[in-house]
Amino acid sequence: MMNESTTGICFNIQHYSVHDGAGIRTTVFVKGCPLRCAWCSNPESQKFEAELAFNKKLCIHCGTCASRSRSGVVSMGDKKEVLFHPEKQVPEDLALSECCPSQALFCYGKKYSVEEVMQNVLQESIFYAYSSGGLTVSGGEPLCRPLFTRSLLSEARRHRLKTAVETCGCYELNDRLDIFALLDELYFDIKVMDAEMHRRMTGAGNKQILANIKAIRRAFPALSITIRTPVVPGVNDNIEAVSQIARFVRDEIPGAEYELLKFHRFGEAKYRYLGRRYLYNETKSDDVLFSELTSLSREILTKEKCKYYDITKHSFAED
Amino acid sequence: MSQISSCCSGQEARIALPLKLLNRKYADRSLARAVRILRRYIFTKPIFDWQRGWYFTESMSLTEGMHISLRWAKAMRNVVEHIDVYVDKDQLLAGAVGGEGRYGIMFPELDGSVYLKVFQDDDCPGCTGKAAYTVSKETARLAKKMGEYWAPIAFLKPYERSMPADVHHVTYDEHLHTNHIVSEWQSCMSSSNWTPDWGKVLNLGLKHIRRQAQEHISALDPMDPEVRLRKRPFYDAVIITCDNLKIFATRHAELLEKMASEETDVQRKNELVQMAEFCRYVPENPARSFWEAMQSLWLLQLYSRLESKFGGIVVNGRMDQYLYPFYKADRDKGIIDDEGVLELLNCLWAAEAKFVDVYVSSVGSAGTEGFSHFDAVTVGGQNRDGMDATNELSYLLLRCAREFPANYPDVAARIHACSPREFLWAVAETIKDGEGYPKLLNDEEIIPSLMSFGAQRSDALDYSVSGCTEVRMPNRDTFLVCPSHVCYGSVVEAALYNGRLPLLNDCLYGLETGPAESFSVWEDFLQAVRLQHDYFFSVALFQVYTAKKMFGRYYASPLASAMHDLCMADAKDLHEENIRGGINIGFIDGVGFGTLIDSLCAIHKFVYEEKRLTMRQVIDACRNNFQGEEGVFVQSILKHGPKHCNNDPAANRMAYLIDTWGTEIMSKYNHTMGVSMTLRMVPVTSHIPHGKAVGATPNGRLAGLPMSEGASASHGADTSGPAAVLLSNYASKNLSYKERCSRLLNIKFTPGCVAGDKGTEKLIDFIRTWCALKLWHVQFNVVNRETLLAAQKDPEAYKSLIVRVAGYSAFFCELSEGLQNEIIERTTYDYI
Repeated sequence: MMNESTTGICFNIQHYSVHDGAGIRTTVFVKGCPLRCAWCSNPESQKFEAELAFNKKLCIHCGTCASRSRSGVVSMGDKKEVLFHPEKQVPEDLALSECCPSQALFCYGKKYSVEEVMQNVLQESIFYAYSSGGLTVSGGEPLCRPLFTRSLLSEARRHRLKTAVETCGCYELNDRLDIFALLDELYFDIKVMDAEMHRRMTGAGNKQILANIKAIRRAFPALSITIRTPVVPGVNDNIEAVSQIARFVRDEIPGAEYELLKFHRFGEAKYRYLGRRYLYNETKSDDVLFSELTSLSREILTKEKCKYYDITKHSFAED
Repeated sequence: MSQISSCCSGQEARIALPLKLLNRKYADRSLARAVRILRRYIFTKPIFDWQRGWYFTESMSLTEGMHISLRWAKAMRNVVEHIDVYVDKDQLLAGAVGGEGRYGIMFPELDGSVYLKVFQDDDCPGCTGKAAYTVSKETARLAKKMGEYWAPIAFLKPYERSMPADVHHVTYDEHLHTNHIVSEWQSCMSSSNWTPDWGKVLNLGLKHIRRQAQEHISALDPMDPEVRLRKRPFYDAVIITCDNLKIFATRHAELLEKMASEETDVQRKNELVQMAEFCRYVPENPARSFWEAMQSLWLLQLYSRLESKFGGIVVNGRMDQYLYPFYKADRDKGIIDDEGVLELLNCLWAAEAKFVDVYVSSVGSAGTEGFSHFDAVTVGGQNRDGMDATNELSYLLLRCAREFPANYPDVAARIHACSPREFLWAVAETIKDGEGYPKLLNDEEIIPSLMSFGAQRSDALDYSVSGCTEVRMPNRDTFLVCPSHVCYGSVVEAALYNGRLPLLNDCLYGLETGPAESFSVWEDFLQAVRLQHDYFFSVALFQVYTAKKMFGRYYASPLASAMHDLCMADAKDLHEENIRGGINIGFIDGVGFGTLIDSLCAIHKFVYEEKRLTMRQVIDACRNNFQGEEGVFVQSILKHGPKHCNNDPAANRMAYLIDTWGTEIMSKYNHTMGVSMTLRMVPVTSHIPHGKAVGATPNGRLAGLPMSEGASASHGADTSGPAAVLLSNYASKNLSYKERCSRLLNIKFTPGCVAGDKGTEKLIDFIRTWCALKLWHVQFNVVNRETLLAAQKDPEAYKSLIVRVAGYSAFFCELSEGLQNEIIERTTYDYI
């Protein structure tokens, strides 16, 4: 295994990111995540290794890939069309993406050294100079590549860039806690407070996650923290679920901002490219409900003294 | 992990309303009146009005041989004495051409020969409803007569005959239509965009200029032949012109008085009386109030429009500067409030929006779609001392851009390093509203550029935006010749096909640089491209140069010249060459910058570097428009080369090289031409017709599709985000040359990207960075792709959807399908 402090697998380096931190930023998406959220809009972020994907629309069916594939990950069908069998993928198959003339067969994930990433990030230095932007490390779960992430953030600091991390919080915190000292901003996801629902929809419980964010807040009382909740139909798109999180944020993570993210289906195509099934094809976000939940969460966060929320009256009841 | 929400921009929300935008009730005083006026005509087809063309021609036919300025002034006398005067119902500013509805104006001295063909018989397209304008049968008959007079003597004939055979061959086909290789615009417009010093007349009145002319005359030696031939007639023309304006204004006053006497509504009666008083006083005298200044301005604009076709428009100039003293004085006296000021400004837009720049020629109508207009209103920037010039009017003008429900005013904000945050905030909020206004121009690039061409710092600081992205120094600029457009797509084709162009019958238009397959190394191929490039640019330079020599004999603009300090001092019309003390900046537009960069990068990478393809394969595939199995295979490889606007080092280097070629050839011939020629990248919309003449290109683009626009990416090729677009444009400029001016840069944002106060902040950050990168121009388009697709399907429901195209905006549904598709295909930044 290579020294992880110098390389990591990233699936995207996105310039001009403006939704993941202050100012104009570059977001580095690190591959690999411990969770398997059913609604995940970045399915290519989940596996830790690089993987092949196939965009049928771009394929010109020249057959170059099939003639070179030994594992059978791609083959020619009866109608002389290319068929993709991701389950047969072996590591050597990644090279197949290079022979595809139309880039229909492509690779999610590329190994980068810290130097390569930084070179790329620093291309847009002038935008960081004229905004409060900088580097955001996202994923996947960047904290699952702690050495890589730590050294990216230290390098960014050395270049006087502002830093941010987006995390799901699902990991052993002890040997990672120092990483948070390198941050100007932290974006931390809390999906749902109900542990059983969390386990069912993400593949893991939330006990560790909730404990971690409390510990981070204790260790770094001045760190700018934003808690985010993607509002997912059938998971947490209700007053009860959102109030629970909002109250947790208010009571347990003092000073944190809280933000709801609207459900979207932009990840749908990526599931198709990966040959995976997407469960939310028909699901639509309820905009009215979303704005209600947003104002509700705001109200909870700003209302210090309230005891409980009266669902029947859509209002707070005082003691 | 990044989750983003989609939302509507202000404009989309407005369209989504069940009631059509214009049917909405506007409670605000500032808008109600203008919307009432606008509603009566905004969706009507423009009427191509005959009067200006006819009365102008009538006089010109009697004055042949006289000094051109004098002829022009006399012809305008005939126009103002006979043309119908008209005041729109509810309008607070008197004056319009024709009557109700939108109108176009005939300039037969420019395109009279086209009239001969177009208006040949009763079933001309304009008579039968097939054109974008209407003409009555009577008008068509008159137009044809005008054509008969002008066709044999108009500019086009001697102009095309001045061309050596090879220039002529590249420029025109056998019907004198453009080949779209190197398009001349000199025969379509007697001038590129111009901004006169409106403030001078508002403050001093035309009587000041008239007096100046008289003083000049009395200082002249009356027996000096040069005085008799040239100088005296010029000043006489100025005096006649000042009197023309008085006649024109007085006729309006008489009409207003008559209307007032018949008016029963007391309030309207008062308005009419008031306006009549104004028209008796201005523009002859200095304006005494804000309203009077606006009336003076509008009469001057209207006359100016009738006098000459300045790129087809009248530019408003730095309104927040020259109107400010009137605004301030009236506000301090309590005569007017901001709502009243807005009401008058909105009345001006309503008056301006009645005019439509109708083109009947093939180049013109293909080149500026959707009834373009560039009546730029400049706001912000610095004053002549270099201090920030933003004031209350700057904000009111931005408010007009947000609220006025049509594609007026065409606001251009000047941004500089010290622009106040409040101003940037208002600019960003206006951009977010979704109509693409204001376009931004960068003081940090433009002022040094103007100074490098010899301008005084104070004049450079006082530039105003004039047209699409061009700028003018009202009392210093003296070069009016329109640019030529060189198609970069033809450059690469000529290099590939040994000087031949496949879609133009495979005829030899370029140089015979040898078969491309014979170039064994990249440098040889590149040398062939450069030779073709330089050859086509030399054709363009000739077109501009010969027009420069000829313009002064065919055109004059006595009013514009009277308002120009240098013309008055030198007794020369603005169309003449070598005006003493003038700064002469000319342009050649390169069309398809991105197409050429991407094509050369693809050949470099896949043929010479990686050797994945042979030159033969590329040529065959392009010739076959990427048809067939082999064609598809080659195209799919070619499509994945380095692309402009992604801050890709290879593409940046290529762009830098092409910029260097262009600026070098300009600097080489500046001296002989006596003009500071510059490389510009402002296609307006000519990237579409140029694209139609270019076969498939080695960047994978299919035959006939548009060239890339301005300095922007090829369609959909800018996949690395808007920051990379700016950085590529920064990297592609060879800063050791100064022979460069505006580059048009379009960046489209979805509303979700700039939502909320945070979105505004980030847009400001983006603008600040753009300013620091010293890029000439940028404009934004904040819409959803879905909106545009829906508009394509249901034009009726989206009639008022405004979309920004190449430096101007137009109603989306008035654009051709080709242009609509192109806007839709341009990359949208979901993730900004």
